Amino acid sequence: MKNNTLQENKLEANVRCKDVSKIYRQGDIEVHALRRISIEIQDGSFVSLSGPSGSGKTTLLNLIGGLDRPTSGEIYLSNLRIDTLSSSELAQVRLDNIGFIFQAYNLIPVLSARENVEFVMQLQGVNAAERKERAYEILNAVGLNGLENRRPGELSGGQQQRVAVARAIVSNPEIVLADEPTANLDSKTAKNLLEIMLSMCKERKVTFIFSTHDKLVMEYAERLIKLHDGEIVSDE
Amino acid sequence: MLKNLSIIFILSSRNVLRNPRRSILTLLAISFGLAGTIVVSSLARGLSYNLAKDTIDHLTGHIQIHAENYLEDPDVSNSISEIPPKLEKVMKSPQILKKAERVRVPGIVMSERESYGVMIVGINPKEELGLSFIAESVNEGKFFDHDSDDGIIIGRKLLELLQTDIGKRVVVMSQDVKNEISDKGVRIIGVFDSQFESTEKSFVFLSIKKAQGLLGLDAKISEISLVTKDYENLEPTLSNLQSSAPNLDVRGWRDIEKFVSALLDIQGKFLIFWFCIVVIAISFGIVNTLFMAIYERIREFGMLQALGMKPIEIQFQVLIESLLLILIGGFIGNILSVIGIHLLESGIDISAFAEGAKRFGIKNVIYPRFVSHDWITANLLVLFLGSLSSFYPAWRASRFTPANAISRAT
Ligand SMILES: Nc1ncnc2c1ncn2[C@@H]1O[C@H](COP(=O)(O)OP(=O)(O)OP(=O)(O)O)[C@@H](O)[C@H]1O
Ligand SMILES: [Mg+2]
Repeated sequence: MKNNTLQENKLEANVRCKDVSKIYRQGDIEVHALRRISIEIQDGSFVSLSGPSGSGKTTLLNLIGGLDRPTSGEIYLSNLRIDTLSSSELAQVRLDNIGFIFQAYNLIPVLSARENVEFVMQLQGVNAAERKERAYEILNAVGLNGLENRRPGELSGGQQQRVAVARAIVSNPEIVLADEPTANLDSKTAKNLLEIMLSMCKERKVTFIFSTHDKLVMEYAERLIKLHDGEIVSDE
Repeated sequence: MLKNLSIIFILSSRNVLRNPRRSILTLLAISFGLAGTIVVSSLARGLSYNLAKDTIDHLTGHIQIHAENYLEDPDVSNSISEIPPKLEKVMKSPQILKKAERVRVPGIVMSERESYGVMIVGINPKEELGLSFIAESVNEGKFFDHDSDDGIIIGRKLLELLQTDIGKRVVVMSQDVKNEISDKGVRIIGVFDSQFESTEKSFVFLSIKKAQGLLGLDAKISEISLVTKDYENLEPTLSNLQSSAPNLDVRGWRDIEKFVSALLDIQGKFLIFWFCIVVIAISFGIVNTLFMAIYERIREFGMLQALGMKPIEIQFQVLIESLLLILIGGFIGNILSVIGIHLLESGIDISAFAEGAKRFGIKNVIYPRFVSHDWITANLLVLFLGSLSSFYPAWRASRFTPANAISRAT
């Protein structure tokens, strides 16, 4: 029953932004973080957003993930317009469709690695036995077997990021949004993480959207979108 | 949302343990605050109880019955000439534990040197035993054995004022039923002590038969004093008595001792006030703790929302955190209060502060008296106000925009 409703809530993961602008106001100063951006991202693609610091990468990811609202413009996940939803509705959309990986401090500190991975499934209403099985499986897949019961504080930065990837993936989202997931990692660890994400992308038909400064990440990407000053300067 | 309660509960409880020092401080505030209210209120109730009991013991009893106009004009003419048979029957019912009939009229006592206005009380010694203070307060000389004994018993203070002594004679004087002055010389056979100086000064006791003889009352009496099973709950008994004696004036002790009654009422109100003050202070402590706990976790709340937790679930998480603190703190507080009351069971000696307290009838030792509805009130107030004050921090926690919350440096 539960799974049925979940299935129904799933969206075709093409992301569409139409004339999206975001202006931050700090007192009298207005920062135009995004200027009338329009893009469309296809199902199952591995996309990188790059550009200099302050070009609006994080802002764009946050808007696509419904963590913030645009100042103007429209954002669609498949056919659902999300920029007008309430925060509670947005939470539900994220729960059903979107996984997040941030640069750092991704994990819930009071939960172990396995509990972190199980957390989203628990919110989704997956039963305990299945949760546990899927959690062990995915932690194994990201190379963390044996570390399941450690809390985030007892894991290295790279290990924490792998838990975050596992957690973002395990709930079968349509889209994973990753904001500089490799920024705090050395290149070997970063490469390893990217391999994992790429295989997840292919195996599970998940759309991955990255923001990154990292040349390495860009090498892996199928599509490279470059931002500058809140505008798209190239898209290949 | 309810289906997620278990994971929310896990988050809440682990977050309580996350900063043990802060949680312990909060628990201490809650538990000592609660224990403080309960212990102090039990001492206050002990004080009230003493006051009520002393008032009742004095000569009042729980219920008094007089002739219609006696309380306005305690004259011999306002006596009860006959007890209605119906009333007689009700007074024999099991609700009534003790009964004393008395003659009680104003009069004068004279020694060869001084004279004083007093209340002359004629008593049946057997009936007074266990009902009023007098039977147990004659510390010099002797108490009456029978309702027709000769002699007079006066207070120590009056003995001093009259400059006389036990064994000597004094004259009692009053108006009799024919409005004639009637007087009689009697020997002082006993001296009583009271915690009220005014009582020692203004009451003298004769045996009831001798008092009736002096006043020409025959078998008439001025008052009936009754003791019931429960002095705090007189209503049913009172109305029973009233309907069985429509021509007599039946009153409860609070109605007679209006001043003491008002004092007790004020004290009751003060206690509620005191409860509220302490509980509000506790609530501020809780709010403060929650805000500290929330502001250092803003990023985490943003992340939880990013993962798909709804704002209301975040509110629940904070509320459960505070509820856990309140329940654990409340539990410890109740244990502390039991220990506190137990330790004080032997009483607190306030004689150091009690110089002159005798004049107000306050005893030198206060005993705590556990009153269950105070206990319930204190607990409910902590639970209710504590939870209520957690709503605002909880709401705040759910209101951070996830994007802003996450971009914060931890
Ligand atoms: N909450 C905010 N309030 C005000 N200005 C903001 C806020 N968040 C971002 N900005 C501004 O918006 C612009 C875009 O920021 P954004 O974080 O999207 O850049 P970015 O491309 O992710 O940069 P970086 O590579 O440094 O992470 C910047 O000029 C930034 O200062
Ligand atoms: Mg950024």
